[in-house]
Amino acid sequence: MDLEFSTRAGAAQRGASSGLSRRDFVKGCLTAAAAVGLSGRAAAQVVDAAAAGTRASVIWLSAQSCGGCGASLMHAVDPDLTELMLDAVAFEYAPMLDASTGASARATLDAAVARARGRYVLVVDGSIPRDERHCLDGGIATSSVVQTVGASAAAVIALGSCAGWGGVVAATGGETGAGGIDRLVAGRPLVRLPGCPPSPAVLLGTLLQFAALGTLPRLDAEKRPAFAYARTVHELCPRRPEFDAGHFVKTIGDDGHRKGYCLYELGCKGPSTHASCPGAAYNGVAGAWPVGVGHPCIGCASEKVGFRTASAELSRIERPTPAAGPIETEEVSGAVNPLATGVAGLVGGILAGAAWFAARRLETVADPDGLDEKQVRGRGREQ
Amino acid sequence: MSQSISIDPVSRIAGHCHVDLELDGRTIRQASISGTMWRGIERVVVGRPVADAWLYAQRICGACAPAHAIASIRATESAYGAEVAVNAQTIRNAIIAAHAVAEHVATFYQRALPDWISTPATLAVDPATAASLARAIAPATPVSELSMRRLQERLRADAARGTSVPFRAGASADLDPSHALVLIAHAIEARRAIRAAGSAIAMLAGKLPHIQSLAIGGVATAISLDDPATLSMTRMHALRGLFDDMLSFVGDLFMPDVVALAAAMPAWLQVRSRMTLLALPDMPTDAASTTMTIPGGVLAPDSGFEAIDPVSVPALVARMSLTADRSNPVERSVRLDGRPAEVGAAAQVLTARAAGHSQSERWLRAAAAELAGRGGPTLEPEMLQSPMGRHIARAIRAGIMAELGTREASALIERVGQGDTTIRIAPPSAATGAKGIGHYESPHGTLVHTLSVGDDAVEEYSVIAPDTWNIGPRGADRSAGPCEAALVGVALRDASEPVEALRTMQSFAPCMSCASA
Repeated sequence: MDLEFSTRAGAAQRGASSGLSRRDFVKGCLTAAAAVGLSGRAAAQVVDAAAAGTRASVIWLSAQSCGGCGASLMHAVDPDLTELMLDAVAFEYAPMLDASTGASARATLDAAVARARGRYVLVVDGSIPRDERHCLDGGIATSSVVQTVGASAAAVIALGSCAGWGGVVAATGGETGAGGIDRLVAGRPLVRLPGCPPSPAVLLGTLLQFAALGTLPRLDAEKRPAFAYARTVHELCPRRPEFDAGHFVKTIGDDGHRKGYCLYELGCKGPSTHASCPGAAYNGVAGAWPVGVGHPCIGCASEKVGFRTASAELSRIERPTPAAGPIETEEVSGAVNPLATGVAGLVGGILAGAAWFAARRLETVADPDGLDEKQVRGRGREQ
Repeated sequence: MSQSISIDPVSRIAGHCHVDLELDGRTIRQASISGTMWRGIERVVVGRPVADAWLYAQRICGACAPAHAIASIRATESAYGAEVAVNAQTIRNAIIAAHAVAEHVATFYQRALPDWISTPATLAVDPATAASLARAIAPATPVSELSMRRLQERLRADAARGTSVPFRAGASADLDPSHALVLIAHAIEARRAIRAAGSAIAMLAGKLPHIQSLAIGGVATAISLDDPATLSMTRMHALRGLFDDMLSFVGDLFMPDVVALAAAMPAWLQVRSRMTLLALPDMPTDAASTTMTIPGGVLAPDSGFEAIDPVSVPALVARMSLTADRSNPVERSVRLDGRPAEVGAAAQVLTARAAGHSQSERWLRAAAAELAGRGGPTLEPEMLQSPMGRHIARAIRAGIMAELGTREASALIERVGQGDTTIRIAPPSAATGAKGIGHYESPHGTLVHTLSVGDDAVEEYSVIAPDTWNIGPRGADRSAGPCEAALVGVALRDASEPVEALRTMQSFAPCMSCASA
């Protein structure tokens, strides 16, 4: 291996080959590492591993899929997919990218499993039907392929809600008896990344951590990484002050909607959905996520909520917390005490967004309606 | 000597399908395509609140997400007799335009290109020669001798470590390796245009895929000049800037690359079967959706052009017959007046042009001029129905859409600047039993959603997707669909690596997730 590539300088030169500066390449890896919650030293290890050419080995299989989870990866901005493929993640087999087709593609998959046995991460998107006729590849049930390939995987990632628990395909009225992939890969370490689709940073952070450190992120009881799913959307939402103040949008397009009021009364499922969308900056756009542009969360990442409840139905509130009372702040040479803004610095990207919204919240918002039942309800609604 | 071969799985498509080819010697005599995945999304939509139909229907396809979302809400609005706020039409048109650019660029550079080039052959190319060729193809290319050398080094390192699949050997080396290296370099640049389109859509709709900012009668994208939590003047200008970037990419790289490839491989401009072309009018600018930016119609090779205006769409839909076997729902196909029809970029350009759309005519002439300038054959309009012709049509549509996107963004800025921030017209309530049709010209072709309303729940739901037209398996009458017909007569250099069949098939931008819903 060319020594040039195993140093930071090498990374700089590699970055320059397609116009990506060293700063951007490092920044891309750090964004993904920060998303996983890796602190400075561990994040630096991720960068070094990527620069040294230690790549995560990935085999990708699609079951009953709409292609959206793959498409979201195509749209990933930071890090960019091509940079990732050449530097950090080796797609040993991926049907949406494969230069080979048909029998050659099957040979590619077989060779990939043989070459990387025990080392690769199997990423699966799409649900698994009960009747194998509803999803076949090369005449073989995709469920069978997932099971076989999963058996030699170091770890398995169920990407998206469909692979996680059946998603939209498993909604009422679905006729294929679709479910997630877990029953096919019992015995293998499994990570679920629900969402429809989940933000690409969540997948990339998980893959990069595994490539660099050989470990998977800390998982919750549903096998979801804590870094992305520990909190509810409601807990991370920049519009939380509006909820706490009882400012709700009544209908799309009203005055409150234009002012960025809380969407709870439109049926926002943020309070019952675990995901990190508020800080996701979808498609590289700061503040871009459904609530951010004015539409309630539909709970697509939540098995109990997504595609199982009407969008207008009011959400249950997990872990209701009353709004804090006034906090004593010290005047620190005129600067704002960060405690007073309640910044939660879990996900890297959220820091920028939260600071920006914190600055906004310093305006005094007069509430002419006074405290009423809705506001009391909004403050401490019981489950 | 005859033999049968099959291609399964087919890479670089959403969904799963199976292709059977009957060969005479090494020439395809007959082709049959069938879907091998079914999810039943149409059945899932039934029983949902009508206001939610678009959220479920959108999940038919993640590559075509905005198309299904908007076609679905249009079907709902049609059932309600609802008008759409003009700002919302503008925002939806901007989403349509950006999505078209992203899809057309992705189809050529990411899905089709691997069947035209072989990466290993590019490693021995002289970088200076390749850079020089890049400049000859596209004077505005960002490629340099140094960047080509670096790219080769990265590809070599990738190969040494065990190659990532896109850079693995393509099966065919009939394109000059220097040209292939230029296309690989430009494919990496193409990602900027795709990401710009995704960013434009995220500004308006929260994210892509699976947009989340529609509402019956409008959009949910809040607009206010006074609140940074909404679509602001700064954002709208950034949006317009993104469309400028997309237009630059189309003019600087996309069109030159497609035309240069056509000039280098002129045999791929041969049309093997001329099907009737179908595209419906789209991109409404008024609340009643009767004024369309791009006209449409039916262009039959023998009987000429039949214009279809917005009020005639229901009558045209009635002439479509969808064959779907309940016991084997994976198989489905559609016919117009009992005959197959091709939809997609070629159909969109040629029908619009026949209807007098000057923008389509202008871009077609520019493509023809560019092809002639490179020593390629004269581009007759019918040649757009060849494999390479479809890619040229894509570049044309990408250019048209980038221009329209800029125009829509400017219109929004002006209207909002004058104080109109209305994003929705509250719809009347729908009577039980009301039926609606929503149509949309997606990058892959004509998309139609139909629904009927029960007691505030969806009672029936049906989707005819572009790929139901183009790729849908043989109809009950056993006539070949457009893609199957286009494969007949194609000669394979090597039956074990049917690259020529794949080039033909991928020119239709197949999406089996759409075709079998």
